[in-house]
Amino acid sequence: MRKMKFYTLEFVKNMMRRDQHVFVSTTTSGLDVALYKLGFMGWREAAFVNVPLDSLGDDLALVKLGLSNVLDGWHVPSQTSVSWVLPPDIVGVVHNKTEAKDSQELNQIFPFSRDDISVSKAWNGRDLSTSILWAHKDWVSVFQRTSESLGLQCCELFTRAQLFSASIPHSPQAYGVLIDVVRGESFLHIFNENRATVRSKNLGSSHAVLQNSAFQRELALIGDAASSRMYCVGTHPQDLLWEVGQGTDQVFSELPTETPAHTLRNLALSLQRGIEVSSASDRKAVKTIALLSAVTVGIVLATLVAVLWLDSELKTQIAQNRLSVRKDLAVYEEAKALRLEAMRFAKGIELKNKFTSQSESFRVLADALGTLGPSATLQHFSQNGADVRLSGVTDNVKPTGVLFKDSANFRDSLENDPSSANKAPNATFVRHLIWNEPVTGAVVVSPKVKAP
Amino acid sequence: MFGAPIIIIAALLILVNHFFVEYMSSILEAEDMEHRFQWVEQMKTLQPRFNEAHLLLKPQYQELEARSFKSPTPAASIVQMELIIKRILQTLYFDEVEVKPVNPDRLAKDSEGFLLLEVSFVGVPQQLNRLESALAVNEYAIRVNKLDVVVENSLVAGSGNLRIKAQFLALHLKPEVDPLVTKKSVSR
Repeated sequence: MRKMKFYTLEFVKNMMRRDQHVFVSTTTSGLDVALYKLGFMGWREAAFVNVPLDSLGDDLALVKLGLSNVLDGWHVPSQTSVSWVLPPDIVGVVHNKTEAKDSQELNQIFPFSRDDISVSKAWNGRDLSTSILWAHKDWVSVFQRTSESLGLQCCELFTRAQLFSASIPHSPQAYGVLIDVVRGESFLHIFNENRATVRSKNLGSSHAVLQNSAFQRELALIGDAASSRMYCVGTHPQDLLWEVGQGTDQVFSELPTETPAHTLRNLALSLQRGIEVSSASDRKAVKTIALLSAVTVGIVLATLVAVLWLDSELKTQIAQNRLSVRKDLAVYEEAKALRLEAMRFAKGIELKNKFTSQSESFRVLADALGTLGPSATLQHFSQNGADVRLSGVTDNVKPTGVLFKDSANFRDSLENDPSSANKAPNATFVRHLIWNEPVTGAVVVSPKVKAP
Repeated sequence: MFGAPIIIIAALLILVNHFFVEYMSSILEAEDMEHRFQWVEQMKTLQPRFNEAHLLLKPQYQELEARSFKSPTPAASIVQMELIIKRILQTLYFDEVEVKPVNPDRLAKDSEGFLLLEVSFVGVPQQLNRLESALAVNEYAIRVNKLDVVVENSLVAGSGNLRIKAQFLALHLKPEVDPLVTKKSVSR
């Protein structure tokens, strides 16, 4: 995980830092190395150097050595992008005569299986254009590895013919044939009327360019050789004509002489596309991103499934509960009504108990009269709750203080009551009694049924 | 190319969010439903007890109900009670009957409870006994719980006039609501 994070960070950092670009144009005899920097006014050439490789042969180690010397001097930051301009025996060109974008027929024009080669895309990155660059994947990986060992990132491979496609004069209805001689090496590039590269061939280092069988064959292949225009660069037309001798009517015109630095810059700053090569760290980042995305998608999908599952579980539970609630609704309603009614009953009975616990004034009066006996006359009787006040006249010889002594239901407070005396001024006794209600069978209310 | 996973993940996240919101609402609904379910279950288990209590209390209540004033408001009941007391007192030939409700502001409350009337009247002792028995056999349970008797003309023995002030007490109940009409609270 930590490693993955590191790669991702590195990738993002590289994306931000692509403000320098190295172009390397190789032939067997030497290297043209240019460094371009992105400034305020756009890309500009920061340095250019030509490294002759006298005894190169097939040894790429020399290319690496020469390039690393140059780059050390320039202090190029690591992971700078590098594009290679390679001779036609490494990056070949085929002319896509078919209109089809990706057909069986198209596959047959390459000398290798399509799986073994990398091809260029058109500038919009989707279709194949009329001239298709191709390189064997082995070569691609060789340059990738070389770039990486120098601390650079290989990003694009061009073919040598593309250096000149801008300088070839536009000639309608005619092919342009260019003999390109650089430090004793000869190349043949053929462009169509739209200046697209049709063929590109290494003619070797032999001086007899035009006698070369490959050249003859290539000329024969384009068919209408007579009408095509012949150009040369890096050599003099007279030299070529001398070579051919007098038996030809070919006319060579020399392209305007430009420095290799200028030629390379023309390509570097043009819209031409080469074979795009993804760097190792790019590939790692892509892998990382793919992995991260897959993991994220997995987690999100798992969450989605989990949420959906939980949701469906809940929904089933809800449906079950609802069903059971619906089923029991009648019982519930009945129970509810019973409860309400029982509570109402209980309340009513409670009220009734309170009602019956109230003292009954007539009973108090009867009891008082009964206690007094027939000899006494009651003049005033007042009862409020347990408080009983009475006054009257008695002819009984018994002292008034003992009148209610034996009564079961009255307790004599033994105090004189002036308010009662006022109402009956002639009274011989005035009493303030406390009524002790004899407990009658009170209805016991069952404990109130509580709501759950 | 790098955009595709982001778009896919974003779309999935939106989808997840959508379903998550649904899930949250489901949780709430499930809680609600569970609560409802528990409530119904509880009521179901308690139903026999309610029934028992109902059966136990019903006869007592019916007995009580038969002897209480039943009208939607206490004010209506007290008017009825007043009429009945007046009628009783008049049939027993009491004079100077004067009725005054006790605690009139309590009557405004729409609740079951006691009805209190303070009545003052004049009569002879024999009438008082008859009043007691008339109240005892009355259709409504009416009690006297406060009594103030003053004997007038006491100089003439045996023919004393009684000035009586009594507080009459009765029960007021709201008329029974048909249980079938009770609102069904568990819908859905």
